[in-house]
Amino acid sequence: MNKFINKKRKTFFIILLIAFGALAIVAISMGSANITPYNVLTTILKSTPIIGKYMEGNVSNTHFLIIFMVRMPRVIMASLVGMGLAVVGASFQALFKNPMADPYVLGISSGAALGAAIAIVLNIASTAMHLSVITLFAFLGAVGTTVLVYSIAQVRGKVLTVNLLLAGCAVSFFMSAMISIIMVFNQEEVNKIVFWMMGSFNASSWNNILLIAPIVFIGAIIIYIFYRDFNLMLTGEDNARSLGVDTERVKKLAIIVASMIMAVCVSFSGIIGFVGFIVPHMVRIIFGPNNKTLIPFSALVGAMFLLLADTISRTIASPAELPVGAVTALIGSPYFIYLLIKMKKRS
Amino acid sequence: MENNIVVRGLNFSYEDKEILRDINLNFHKGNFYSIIGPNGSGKSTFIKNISKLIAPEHKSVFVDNQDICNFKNKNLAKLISVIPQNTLIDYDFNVFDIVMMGRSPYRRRFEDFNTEDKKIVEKYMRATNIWELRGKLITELSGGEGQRVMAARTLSQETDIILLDEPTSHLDIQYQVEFLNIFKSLKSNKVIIAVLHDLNLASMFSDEIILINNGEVAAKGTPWQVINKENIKSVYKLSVEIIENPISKCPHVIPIL
Repeated sequence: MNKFINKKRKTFFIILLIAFGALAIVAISMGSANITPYNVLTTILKSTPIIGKYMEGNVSNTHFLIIFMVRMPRVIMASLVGMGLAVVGASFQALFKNPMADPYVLGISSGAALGAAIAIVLNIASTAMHLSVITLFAFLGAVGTTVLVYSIAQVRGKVLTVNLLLAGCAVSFFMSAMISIIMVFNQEEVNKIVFWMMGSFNASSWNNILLIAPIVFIGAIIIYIFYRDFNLMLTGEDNARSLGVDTERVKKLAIIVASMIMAVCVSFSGIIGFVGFIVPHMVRIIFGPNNKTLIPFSALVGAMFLLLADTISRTIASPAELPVGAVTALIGSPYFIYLLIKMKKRS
Repeated sequence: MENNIVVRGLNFSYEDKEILRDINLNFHKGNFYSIIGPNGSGKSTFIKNISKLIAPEHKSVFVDNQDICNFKNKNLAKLISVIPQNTLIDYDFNVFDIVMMGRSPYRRRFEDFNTEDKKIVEKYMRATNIWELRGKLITELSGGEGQRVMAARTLSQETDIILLDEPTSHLDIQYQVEFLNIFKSLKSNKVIIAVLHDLNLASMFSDEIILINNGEVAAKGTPWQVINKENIKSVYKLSVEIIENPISKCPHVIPIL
């Protein structure tokens, strides 16, 4: 099975891509308004510039609005964030040579949460450039934390990965403590802060997508360009360096790019755990550890996984909405455990 | 004769602790060199300095007459290959992919390995007797097999200089000999420098031995010049008897208890 999959990687990728398209269409059709996947498909095709001319029938205005203004931005947003988290997770697991690494190991989530909490408490309702102040503060918190952690871990121009993990951990605890204190003194805002931290896509809009999409895509491509360096680093830093990898440069670049991806993802959607940790593992168990395969497949599977989780979170208990982070863990962990057990039996 | 590696007045310290002091050595093609010395004497730091795993001071290590500090990592990787201490790979790469990594200095970022690379890799995998293991996962191999994979990877790198940092310290005796034999048989147009713990192995395999003590070269020369009672006594603080190995005719160390 594994050999078969590995030989047909390209075919498999295309099949997954089609599956992703189908999943997206079904996800758009799901919700309180009565829209079928077929409606979604025809509405989208009708609205496409050239193909639309050859399509018969009319598109109802309400369908158009719900599909294009409400559901599609959310579906795209969930996919983008899923892709970003999974790619960053894959690259961090290679960079730190540690299977427990996830996109939040550098404390970026708590930094973003602290930023968001401050904005919520200060109650700044204004928006700048279509961005809510909460998002802006979260972004600044995320970037600030990464810079702080990186500069703590840096010794004479070199960054030891162990120092990075420890500094990330320490800063993370510090930020979380600050959040707790803020919450105690602003109890009326606790709900808002907690809900922000649990993560959600219900504020998705095309404006947000225009900001996130380029960063996630360009970032993922840059990380992919370094796939061979990541492979070599998985065999140890000394080995990588003796095979010509400038390990310090790769680390620096990967951390900058990954942090940018994470900062935009977290500041728009809150802290969604598990995707960045589990998706690269699932892909690795099926396709092996080679980052040439791992990174693109993680991107696609991450997008599908978070899209699925978000669709479940907004439909299963409708009109209530479950926190998407809880859904990712609820469907992710049993599957992951299943894969682990299967692996154990094989070896 | 061409000097492939020249070390001139090399000093190295971690923080305030002096590890290497004024080391001057020349390494020539066609020779197998061993570096011996007690734990903490600076052997590994020396190997790391002359391979730029840890950058040395400027103008203290020269490779093919150029300061090692001026090389880009990728270009240096075409001249020097290293088997570092304790390579532990816990990701499920297969053996062929690991050996193929030896070819990465020759390929640009997005360039795939070509048939020439595959031929080279196959040649060295056969030479190290691991071609049959090519589909196996690196995590499933025994210590001896794993070290042969590292040897094949290093040979695939096709460098003139090969550095081995205690490559055999955790292997059984038959694998130690087998491993060092691989490199001995290839030494004619290469410089091989190995850090070794076992004095008798060093004596058997080396053309020249360098004895390092407290970061300084305590003795250098042929096995008979370096491995004698006085040197071992003063460096290792151990009384020994030296006899002639009846087969290889090189010195053989017997500790006196």
